[in-house]
Amino acid sequence: MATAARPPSLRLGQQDLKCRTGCGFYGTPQNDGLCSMCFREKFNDKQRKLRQKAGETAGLAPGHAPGFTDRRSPQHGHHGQGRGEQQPRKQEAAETSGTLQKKKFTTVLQKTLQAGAQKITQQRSHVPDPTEGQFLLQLRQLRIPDDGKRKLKLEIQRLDSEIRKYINGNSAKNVDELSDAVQNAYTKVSDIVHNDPSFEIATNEDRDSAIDFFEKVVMTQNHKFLFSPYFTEDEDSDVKVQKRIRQLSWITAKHLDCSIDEVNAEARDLVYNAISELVGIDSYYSPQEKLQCTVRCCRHIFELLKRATGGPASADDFLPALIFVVLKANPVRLHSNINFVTRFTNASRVMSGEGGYYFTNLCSAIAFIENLNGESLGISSEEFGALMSGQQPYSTPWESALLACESLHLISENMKRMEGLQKRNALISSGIASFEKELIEFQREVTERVDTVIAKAPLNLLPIKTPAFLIGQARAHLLSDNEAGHYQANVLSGGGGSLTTQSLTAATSLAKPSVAPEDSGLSLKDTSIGSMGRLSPLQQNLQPADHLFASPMFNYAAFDAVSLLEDPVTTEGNDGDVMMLGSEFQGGLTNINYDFDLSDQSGENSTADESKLNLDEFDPLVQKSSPIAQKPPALPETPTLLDSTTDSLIDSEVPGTAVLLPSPLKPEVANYRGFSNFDIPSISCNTGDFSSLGHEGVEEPK
Amino acid sequence: MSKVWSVVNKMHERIDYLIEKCPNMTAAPYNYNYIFKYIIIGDMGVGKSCLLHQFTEKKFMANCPHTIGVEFGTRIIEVDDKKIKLQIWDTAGQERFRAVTRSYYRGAAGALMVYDITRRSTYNHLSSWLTDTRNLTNPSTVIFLIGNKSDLESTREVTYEEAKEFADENGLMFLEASAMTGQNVEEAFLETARKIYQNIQEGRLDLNASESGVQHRPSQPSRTSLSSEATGVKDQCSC
Repeated sequence: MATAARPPSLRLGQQDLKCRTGCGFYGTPQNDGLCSMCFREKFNDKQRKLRQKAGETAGLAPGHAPGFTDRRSPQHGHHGQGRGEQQPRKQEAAETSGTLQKKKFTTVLQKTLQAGAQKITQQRSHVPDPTEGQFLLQLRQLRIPDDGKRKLKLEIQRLDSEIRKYINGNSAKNVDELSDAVQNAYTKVSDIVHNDPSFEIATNEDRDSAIDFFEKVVMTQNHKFLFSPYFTEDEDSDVKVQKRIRQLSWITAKHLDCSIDEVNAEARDLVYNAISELVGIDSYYSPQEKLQCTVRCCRHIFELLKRATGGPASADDFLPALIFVVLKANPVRLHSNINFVTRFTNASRVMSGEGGYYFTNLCSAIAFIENLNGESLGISSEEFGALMSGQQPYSTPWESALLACESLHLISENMKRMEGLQKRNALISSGIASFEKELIEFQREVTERVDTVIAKAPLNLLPIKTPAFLIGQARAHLLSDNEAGHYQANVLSGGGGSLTTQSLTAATSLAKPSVAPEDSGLSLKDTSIGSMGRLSPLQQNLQPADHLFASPMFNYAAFDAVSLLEDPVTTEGNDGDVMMLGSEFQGGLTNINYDFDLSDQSGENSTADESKLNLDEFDPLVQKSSPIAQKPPALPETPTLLDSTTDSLIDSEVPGTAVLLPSPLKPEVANYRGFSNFDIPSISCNTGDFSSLGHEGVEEPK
Repeated sequence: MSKVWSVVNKMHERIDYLIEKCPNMTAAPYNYNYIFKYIIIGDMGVGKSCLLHQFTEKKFMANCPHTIGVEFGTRIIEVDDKKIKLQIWDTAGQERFRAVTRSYYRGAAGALMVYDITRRSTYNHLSSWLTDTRNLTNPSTVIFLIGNKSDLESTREVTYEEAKEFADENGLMFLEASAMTGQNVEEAFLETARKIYQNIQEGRLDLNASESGVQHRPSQPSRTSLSSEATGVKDQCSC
């Protein structure tokens, strides 16, 4: 293989791919154009010479200077992941000067760590990580005798520990030494598998799979040490080649004189497949898998060429196509991957067969890319330089097709989204329509039902009439009240006060058990009347008020009942029983006032407007009298007089002008009068001050 | 328990520091303590490669070609006096290569999820990127949301507040950055590293897990394969 020597050309003969020594195997540029066997031989020669030289000059074996030994151990215990075990080397290290201090630290550390840490390490070692578990499973599934499996496992462990030992060793590291060790292990395993009696019954295929398994396990487990090791330049060359390929992004299929149609959709698809395989190389851990990726990639390219030329593709067309794919793919960590495979895969794999052929081609392609110039692409070196530096703008069909492809993808994605939105929109609008319909239907139904109900039970608001006989009855009751005692009057109003206040009437019966039977009888009567005309007994009093205050009226009526309950005391006072009692119940009276007033008001409203005119006239009088009224509640005579005036005053509040000042006091006075009267219905009827007086006058004689 | 570990870790650090101060003990074969694996993801054309380039080269890469597959970059940074090597995989945004790029999520310690503040569609796709990331990485992977092209304020389509809310809802770190001016680029990469480092210190990230995305000293071996008895003895890092 002469790519390195000659200016790179796109045409490689089969002979160019072979080892320079003419051994008949494939060689790679990474191995100086030698196959791995010849390369190793040559390398070993070199090493021997080097060692000899080093031995002469320094008297030491290279890479085994004792100075290195001290250096490595001390820092070691320092990550808290539970690796506190004492290392044999550590003790050696501690003995050397300058490490005593460290030893102290480490021993202290170890003491603190060991208890907890060891537990953790032990636990860990029992739980194999997923890949390891998988390998154990695969080992069990290998179709080789158990004895062979055991041997294989032993070999795996041996190589594994050898690699780790080397990586952790202090010697100056050389990746070729490592590669050598691994290759020797492969040879050894192959020897065991083919010659060991424990593998006697296994078929050749099974033997090969055993060797492959060995390689895969060791390489996967040690990938992180062996792949792009820190003591090599692999990573730097990765970055270099990546940058170069990026700079070469202007290269088209035409430059490479290859038959890939960059804008043909089908061809592009195959190129993409090939690129995907190339890009995927880095994501695999074992060299075998990486090699398989390469093989798949190259098969895609052959397929592509077959379609492009319409016949079987020639090997001559293959390399340019591969170069094109590599340029467009810009595979990640290219050098590291190539080197990893060349160093650590079973040498026989890359030296012959399909895998070897493709891999060698890939290596040549990379060599070409690294060395190409204007001449090899058929353009002037000036143009080449301008394109490389990015001074000359360019546009390749590939790049634009890539962009177009992505844009098309975006367009189709957006179209899909729009379609989805449209569907959802339609769904929403149909939902709205059906909801609207439902609403209308619901409305219709409700109105229909309401109509039918109304039709069934029409609501007729009729003016409330109090039958005349009821009034007469009430009067009669009241009269009998006066005879039997004030109490019954209360009951009457209490019972009739509202249907809900029956409990109150019951309370009254409790208060005065002697009158109770009569009370209940009365209340019953009242309710029966009530059933005929709602709240009939009250209505006698409050009928006109009803128009003014719809429902609150009844509430007040309830209070009325309460107030009336206490009335008798005052009336007793009125009658001249005991002054003391009257004063005692004063508090109760004040509570009642408003209610009473209201009823009064209503009564007055209903009766006549003339009385109001009268009231206006009396306004100043009330103001004068009210202070007096407050003082002597016990005095029966004077209050009554005043009451009448105040009553009228309250009424006059509607037009009211001068009443503002005494208003808080008025109620009490009004109250007073009311209780002295007892005669509720009469109050409502008689409004004017004089009339009320007259009323009293009428009642008293009765 | 985690408290004990953090104390122990601090002691380790102190020892490290003393050892590093000791002149006899220098000359480590490499110049970093940790390797963190990052991935950069996001829609096509949001500036992933430019962010990487700005971070590794401190230059803006004008008319950079579209990434196909994956690109790679490294840089050594310092967190808490620790040298950390960031290995960054910059993935292609094209849908066509999603299958390949997905294989690179595995074992990432940090994921930088990028959108373009001047293109709402790139922001709208974040949830699908996030789902991918959550499904393909470990729970301890630090996800950092970057709103790129913050220099193009006039054509902004996604507000800072909106994206911040999205980030908070999903427990992501968030910054608006510009690969063009370099504003916040450094911060985003460093903040992610700090967070990962903090996770290590607090014992939330197991360095021995096969896909943790973090290597402590490149040569530090983990357990030997297929054998429990051979472990431990060689568990050593060479410093």
